Amino acid sequence: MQIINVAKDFTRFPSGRFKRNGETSGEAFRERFLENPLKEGKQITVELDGTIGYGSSFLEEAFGGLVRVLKISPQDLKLKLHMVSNDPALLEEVSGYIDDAGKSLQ
Amino acid sequence: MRGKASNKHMATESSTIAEVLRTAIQAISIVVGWVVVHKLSAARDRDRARREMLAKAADALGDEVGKLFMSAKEYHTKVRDRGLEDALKMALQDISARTSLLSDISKDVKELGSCRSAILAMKKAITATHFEDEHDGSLEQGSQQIQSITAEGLRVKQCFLKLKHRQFPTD
Repeated sequence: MQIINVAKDFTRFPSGRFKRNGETSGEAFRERFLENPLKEGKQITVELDGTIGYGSSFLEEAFGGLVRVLKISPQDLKLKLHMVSNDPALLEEVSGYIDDAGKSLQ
Repeated sequence: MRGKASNKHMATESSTIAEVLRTAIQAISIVVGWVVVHKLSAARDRDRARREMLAKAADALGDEVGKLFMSAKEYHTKVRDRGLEDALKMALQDISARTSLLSDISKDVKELGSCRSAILAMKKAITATHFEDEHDGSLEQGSQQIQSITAEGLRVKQCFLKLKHRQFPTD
């Protein structure tokens, strides 16, 4: 089980959707920390607390983007990817982006 | 003669016991009654304090949402301001976390749930598009996104107002 703390391992200031506009974007986070371990079948826990906050575009690209890039079903992704936060609303938000991305795959 | 005196003594003794018992029962009844009234009164005071705290928190959150959605409209209708982006994300995170924490003192699970959904919809209206790297110039006041931010912001404010009002039912 790999544990990734966004604030400590990536940045306290996550921002933006695409990598071309910055290394603290959702796409950059996804490519750097999530895609390869998931391709290798590893389980990942992502700790979300400790940053200044997330824009929806960052979260959608980082987590919804996984469904599109890896072509994995939301159900399978959720078995491998565990999210941790003290704010249940943030967890619901991320889960919603994963589910929405799954609908667009169908 | 001696038997009569003994009978009289026994009668006096049993009437004393009855008197003591009656007094003891009255005393116990008074103490039990006081404890029950005190407990009910303390529970009522706690509930009133809880409702007042909840109403105050809902009021404060409603004010925060008002400020937030004015800042969000300013952000989207002007040139990109990175400082304002951070302030918006922090404010959204703070409002969301404070609303989630209200579940510790609120029994109104349904109303809190609808406030949380409204906050998420407002967050998406503000930060899902034309935010951070996608801010490519200012939007018109009447644009679709500004209308959406206004509508969702008002929905959140109404939700907090409703939560506040439900703490003081009219019936």
